Amino acid sequence: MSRKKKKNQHEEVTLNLTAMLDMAFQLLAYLILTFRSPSVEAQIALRMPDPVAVSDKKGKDVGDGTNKDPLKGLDQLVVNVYSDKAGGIGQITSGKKDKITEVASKGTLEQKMARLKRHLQEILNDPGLPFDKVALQIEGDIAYDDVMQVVDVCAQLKLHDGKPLQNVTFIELPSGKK
Amino acid sequence: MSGSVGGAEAAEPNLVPILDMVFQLITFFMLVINVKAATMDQTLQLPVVGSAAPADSTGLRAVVLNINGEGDVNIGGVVQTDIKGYVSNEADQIRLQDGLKKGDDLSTRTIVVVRGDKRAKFKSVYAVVKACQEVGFHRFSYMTTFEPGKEP
Repeated sequence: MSRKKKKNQHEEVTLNLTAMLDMAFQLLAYLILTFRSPSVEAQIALRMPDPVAVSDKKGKDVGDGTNKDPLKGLDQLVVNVYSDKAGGIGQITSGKKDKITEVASKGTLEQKMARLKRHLQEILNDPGLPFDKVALQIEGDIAYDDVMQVVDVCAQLKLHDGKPLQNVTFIELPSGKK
Repeated sequence: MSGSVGGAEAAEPNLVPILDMVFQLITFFMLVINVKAATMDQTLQLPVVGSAAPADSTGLRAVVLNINGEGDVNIGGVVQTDIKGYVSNEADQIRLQDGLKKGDDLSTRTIVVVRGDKRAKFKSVYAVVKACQEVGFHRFSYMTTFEPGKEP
């Protein structure tokens, strides 16, 4: 039995791709023009509790006198950063009240940072000292770039048990009363 | 004088390969496009810091604050003059979304990304940080760039 195949006569569908290509090129041009290569950025992550100023420019206590807890603030190592005339870092001291130690005042920024790192690490390495926080009191005129170098030094410090120092906070140094 | 139309066949280039290639390019650009970059002021010169870690705030909601050399705060391309009001609104919205009470710490799921220009004064940056701390943000990420030659 043979079946006679009937050939269907159908029209060939032609899709007009020009409009689609036109739109695709416009989309491509937009994406190329707005494309920005992702910049290489890094971060210093800090957990920063509310800071409390402990001394003014002259090292004078600026506490409000309401603290009745004799241990409050004892675990906080205070670093004071003063500006020079050019808005960079001038003098760096540590401690508060009558126990202020000059850490660095001369040399390049790198030398000051190296001295600061050595000084702070020596203190934090001592298991007999209670410090596990660093409070940076910084003069407001210092450039942010220089401040980040100090924060960078603190981020590299380790406590005497080998754990990295995580509690770093900073505050604008209150102006001394003249 | 009239030109005669010869029996030239209409040239019909095959557009399918070129369309295919264009779509592949579009796919590539859409995949590499950085939506977050819109919130970042690319004109800022970030500080160069040696020990900074690669930026990663995965899983955290980020509040991005750009501070230029003059100390102006730029958020999403708009200069914010009332930074205290802005961060207070942000904090209220986050607390509302997360079901937190007023005064609760926002550090668990939110990080404040501070992108400060290295020419800015510390007091400008600190004013922003202080405003954030006052409304409950205590987790900060200070954006920097790697030292030349130390990129990961």
